[in-house]
Amino acid sequence: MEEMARSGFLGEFELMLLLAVMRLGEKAYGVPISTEIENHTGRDVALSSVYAALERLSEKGLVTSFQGEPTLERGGRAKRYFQMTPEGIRALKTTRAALTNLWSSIPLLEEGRL
Amino acid sequence: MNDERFNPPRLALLLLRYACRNSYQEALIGDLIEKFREGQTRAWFWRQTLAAVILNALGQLRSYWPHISYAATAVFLRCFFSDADFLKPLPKWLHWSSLPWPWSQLAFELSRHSLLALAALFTLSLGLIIERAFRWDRVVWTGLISLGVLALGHFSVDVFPWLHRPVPNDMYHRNFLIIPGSIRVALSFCGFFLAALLGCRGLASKRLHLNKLNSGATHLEI
Repeated sequence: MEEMARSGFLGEFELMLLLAVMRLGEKAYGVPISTEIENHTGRDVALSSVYAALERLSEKGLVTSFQGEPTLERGGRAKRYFQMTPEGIRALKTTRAALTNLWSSIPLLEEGRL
Repeated sequence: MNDERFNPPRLALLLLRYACRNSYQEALIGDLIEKFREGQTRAWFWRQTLAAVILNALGQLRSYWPHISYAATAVFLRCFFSDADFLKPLPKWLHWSSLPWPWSQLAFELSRHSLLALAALFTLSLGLIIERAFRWDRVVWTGLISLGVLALGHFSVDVFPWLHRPVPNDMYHRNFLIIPGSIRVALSFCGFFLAALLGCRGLASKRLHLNKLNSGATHLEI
């Protein structure tokens, strides 16, 4: 937790992106990542914001990316695949631990009154 | 499959190509085309394009924050300190009346504004240091270009005589502009921003080069 406090916690959208990348595994590129977030949150996501956030995560060293082959159905453009790094996985775990701690220490929620 | 359904709006593609230059440009265009061909509407494509362009513009603005800080500081100083009492004797200190024309006129009319613009260079230097892009020549060029822009802005008023009126009871027969203050502030900001852009042009081209290196994309045309 101390380590995470030093590097800063993940934002809501960053957390969603990392989870989507993790769920998709080897198939994680822009389209399935945005579809995954849309399907699970019901939120409309702009593809450009997905890429902008993934680039930020890449600068932080939480994801890496590599380029696929250009395909005809994409107008000859290559896909850019994303993968989690060990730092990314660690960030997810510490964020989950922090959130679980916070949620579990709310008495009204524990007693089911909310 | 008809052409309309298969090909996304050409103008939107052009916008994405020229107004959205970043390291993920090719992948983003490919993703948009893929989703469009899967059944998204042209309106959806346009919405995504506009979102990408706006996001990219905001990112660009963020990357030019030292320039923007410089322009904002220079405008702020000019607005609030150009008539300050402690600056009023500056033309006298420069012995403006003994200088040959046009230096006498420049010293008399622009010395206070020039000093404030040069003081704002401190903000630019600080921004460049934080960005690890500080070089003396960038600061010096920005200063010189700012002085040029100031002089140009000040004396170009004479080209548009219908835009100025004489200052009442002014012994030096000076004129003032009748255009609204907000427009003058905006023009002044643009001038200083342009000066910083030109003065630090090496910085901008280095960034673009880095972006191109990062994108490393090869693609076939649609």
